[in-house]
Amino acid sequence: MIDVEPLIRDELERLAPQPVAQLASWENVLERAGRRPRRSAPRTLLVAAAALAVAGAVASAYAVGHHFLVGDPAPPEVKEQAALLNQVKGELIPRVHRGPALRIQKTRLAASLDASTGRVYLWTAPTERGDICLFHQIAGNEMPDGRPNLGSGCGFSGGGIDSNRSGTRVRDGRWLSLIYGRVDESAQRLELRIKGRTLDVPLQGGFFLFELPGVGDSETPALELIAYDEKGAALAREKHGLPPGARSPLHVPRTVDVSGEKPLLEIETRRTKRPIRLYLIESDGERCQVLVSPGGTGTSCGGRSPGAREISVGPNQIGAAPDGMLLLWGEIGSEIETLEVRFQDGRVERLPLVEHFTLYQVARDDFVHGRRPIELVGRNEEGGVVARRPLGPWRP
Amino acid sequence: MRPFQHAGLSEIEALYRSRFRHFVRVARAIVGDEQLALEAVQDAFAGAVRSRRRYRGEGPLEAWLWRAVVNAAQKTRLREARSALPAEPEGRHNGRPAVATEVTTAIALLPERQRLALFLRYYADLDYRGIADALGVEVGTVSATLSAAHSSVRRALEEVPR
Repeated sequence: MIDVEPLIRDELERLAPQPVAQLASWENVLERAGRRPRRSAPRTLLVAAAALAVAGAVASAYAVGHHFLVGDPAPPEVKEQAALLNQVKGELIPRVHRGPALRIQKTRLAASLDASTGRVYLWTAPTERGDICLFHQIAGNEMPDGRPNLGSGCGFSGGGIDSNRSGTRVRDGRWLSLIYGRVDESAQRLELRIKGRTLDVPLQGGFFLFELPGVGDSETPALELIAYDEKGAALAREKHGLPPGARSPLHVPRTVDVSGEKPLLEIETRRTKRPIRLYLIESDGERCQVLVSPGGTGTSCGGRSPGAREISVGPNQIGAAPDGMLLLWGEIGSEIETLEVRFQDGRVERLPLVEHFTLYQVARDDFVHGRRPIELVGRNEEGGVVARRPLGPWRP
Repeated sequence: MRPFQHAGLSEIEALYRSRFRHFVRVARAIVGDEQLALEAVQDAFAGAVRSRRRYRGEGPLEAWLWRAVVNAAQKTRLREARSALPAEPEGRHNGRPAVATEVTTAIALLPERQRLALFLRYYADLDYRGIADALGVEVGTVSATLSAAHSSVRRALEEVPR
């Protein structure tokens, strides 16, 4: 008898993966309900900008660069970079993407900071869904062609505290650790607790941009943000920490020496016949997968092993179109004895397996619509299907 | 006599914030479009805000909100006259439907209530009690509904030659 529960679960997952939509504005709900919503953050921003203009921009923290003030429109080069979030380029097989639907022309300066490495700007753009995206720009860390290098986070919806933290190696080699985001408009003060210290984080029209003091590269100390109202009552708290065993979002890729090691799997690139090798190596008590290809070396350490009926293999593009390559590599669960890839035209190919790992390069001919790989299927010893993993969805 | 316990605005807002993605996911499964689902969820919550005094505390507030979201999504789907799941397989492979689309087709052919129970089970991670509260039925009915849905999907798959 077929156990349909996992099939239904997988199929529903494939049909409707986790929504891209981030928390949409509660103010929109109140507006629809006919209630007077709290003032929206963009309006707050404009009010803040106007107030600053009247005050002659007395607070130096609000003045950025030599010509931008909080609330000013972003320059074209920032808008152009931000617009890239709405599109993805260079994919060998274009995937279906649901971008954040940014309203690029409304990109404004939300906050600025004189950090230890120089000036940092925080730009904000609303999305069609009613939330916002934030982009931080570190001056002096532009791309080689001079374009601004924006770090971004989307889904900031207002209410409570929405924050992101980021770590960047600035061009001169120094490390810059930031926390930025947005707080409820009724917040009058924002407090940061980190490494036993309590610090005040300046608010700039409901936004904040702050350098985490004494935080080195690859370091992600737990921290807590607390927003207070005008009476000093705590309005909201947000903690940043790492669950046990989790990878740090600021994790610096580890280097694992594979010289002298025997690869677990080895294939040749289809076009140039150069080796692609997958190593499985113990390093510092962790199991590391190291993929060495002509396009570079990728290392992944730790992480959980797949469940007995799980396929932890996915498409992995190395290099950009048209010259990159598309690999399927990873690990499968212990109950899976054979793994096959199915294509749009009905072909089925069996993938090589060694110790429940696979490595396969998708042929260039199979990038075209009608021939693309669409699903991985795992079978047990008896040949029964015990696991499936959809690939894509690809754009036609 | 215990007074009615109306829903507080802050309680509704808290559930909106904490379960937003689940609400959108189920609504999207019903409606078939994320943007419309988003609209449906916001409409449902707007309606809940307006009529929160009608909530009498007879069941969990979350279940009351789930009913509102499901109703709003169903109305949206009727209005848009589109189906969340394709009634026909998306593609055929070697002259017969691919297994993935066999499951899709089997789900698409389920009665409305069975599909809804599956959505609430798998997309909203609700347990049988939660689904029962959301659909306004007994727990036993949910169990029977899901069992019937699983049997239908299983039958459909077993009939397919491999």
